[in-house]
Amino acid sequence: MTKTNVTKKSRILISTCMLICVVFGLSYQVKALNIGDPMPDFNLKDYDGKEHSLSQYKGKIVVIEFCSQECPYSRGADPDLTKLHAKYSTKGVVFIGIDSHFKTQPEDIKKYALETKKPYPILKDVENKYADKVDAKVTPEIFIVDKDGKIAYHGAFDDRKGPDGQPTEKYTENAIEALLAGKPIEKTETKAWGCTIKRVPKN
Amino acid sequence: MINNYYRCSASLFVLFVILFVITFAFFHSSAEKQPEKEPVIHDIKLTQIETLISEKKPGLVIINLWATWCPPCVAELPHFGNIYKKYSKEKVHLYLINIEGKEIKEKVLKPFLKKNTLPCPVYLLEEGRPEELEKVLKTEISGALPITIIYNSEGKLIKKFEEAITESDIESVLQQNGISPISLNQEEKSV
Repeated sequence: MTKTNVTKKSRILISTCMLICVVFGLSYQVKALNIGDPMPDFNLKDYDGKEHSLSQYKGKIVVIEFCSQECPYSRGADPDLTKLHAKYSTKGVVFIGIDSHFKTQPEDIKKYALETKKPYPILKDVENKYADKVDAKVTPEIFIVDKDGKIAYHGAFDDRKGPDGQPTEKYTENAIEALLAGKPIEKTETKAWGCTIKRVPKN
Repeated sequence: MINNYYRCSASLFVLFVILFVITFAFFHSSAEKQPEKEPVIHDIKLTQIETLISEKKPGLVIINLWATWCPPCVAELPHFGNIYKKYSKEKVHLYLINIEGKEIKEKVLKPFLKKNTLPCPVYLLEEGRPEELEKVLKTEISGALPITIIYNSEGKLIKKFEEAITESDIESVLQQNGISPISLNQEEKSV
C-alpha cells in the first residue's frame, strides 16, 4: 500500500515538475528570438508615410538596423552601414533602419536622413511595438534576415567601442559575405555596446 | 594738419586697445590653465574586475560601465561623485569603468575628465567585449549603456540597473544594506 502511495506521489511530483519546465520553456521561447527563427513581419511607415513590410522583401537578404539619431554610437555606425549599402545593394541585399525611440518623430528622422544622405529607408516604429516583438534593446542593433525570412545574424554592427572607433571584426559585413557565398556565418550572435532603446514609459 | 594729427592719435589709440585686449586674453587664458589637475585614471583588465567582485571586502561593490559618447552616462557621473564623497571608502567600493579601451586614454578620456572633474578615480577597461564582461560580471547585459551593478561582500549580485541612475537609486540600495552616509554615522556616534 505504502509503496504504491509513494510511486503515485512521485509520479505526481515528476509530472508537475515536467509541466513547470514545459511552461517555462515555452514562455522563454516566446520571448527570445533565436537564430534560425522566422523574423516577425512588420508593417511600418518611413518618414514620407510610405509603408514597408518585411514580407515584401522575401527572397532577399534584409539587413535591419535598430537605429536612433539621438544615439551618438548609432550615428557613428551609420556611415559604415551606408558604405555596406553601396557595396551590397546591387547584389540583392536590402537595408532598412528602424527607429523605435519613443520621442523621435518622423520629421526628426527625415531631417537626419536628408542631412546624412541615407540611401536606405528609415522606418518609424510607433510606440516601439516592433522592438518589443523582437526584443531589440540597443541602438545600433542588427538583425540579418536570410532569403527564407529567417534570422541569420543578430547583434552588434561590428566590435568598435565608440562611435568613431576602429572595428577589428566586422560582424555585419562578414555575415552578409557568408550569406552571399552560401557559407555558414562564423559569428551568428554577438553583443553590442550602444544606447538603450528609449521605450514609451509604462503606466 | 590738425585733422591728420587727430587721425594719427585715433589710430594709435585703437592699436593700443587691440594690443591690450590681446595681452589680457593671453594672460587670462594662461592663468586659467594653471590650476588644472591631472585626472586619476587606472587601467583595469577583465580578470581584475573578477577579483574586485569576489574579494570579499566589507560593504558593497558598485560597478558602473560607461562611455564618453553616452549622454546618460555622462549625466549620471556627478551622482556617483556625490556618492563617493558621502560614504565611507571602506564600505562603498566604487568603480566607474569606461569601456572604450586603452586607445582613448590620452586623446579622449583625459581631456574629458579635465572638463568634467570627478572626486573619484576612473577606471579604463583595456580590452573587453560585452560577451567577455558578462562572464566576469556573472550576469547577462544588453550592452546598452549605462549599466550599474551592485554586489555584496560575498560577491553576490544584489542589484542591476540597465538604465541611468540617480543618487537616490544608489542610496536606497546602500540604505537597505545598512550603509549610511559618513556624516550621519558621526552624528549617531556623538548621540
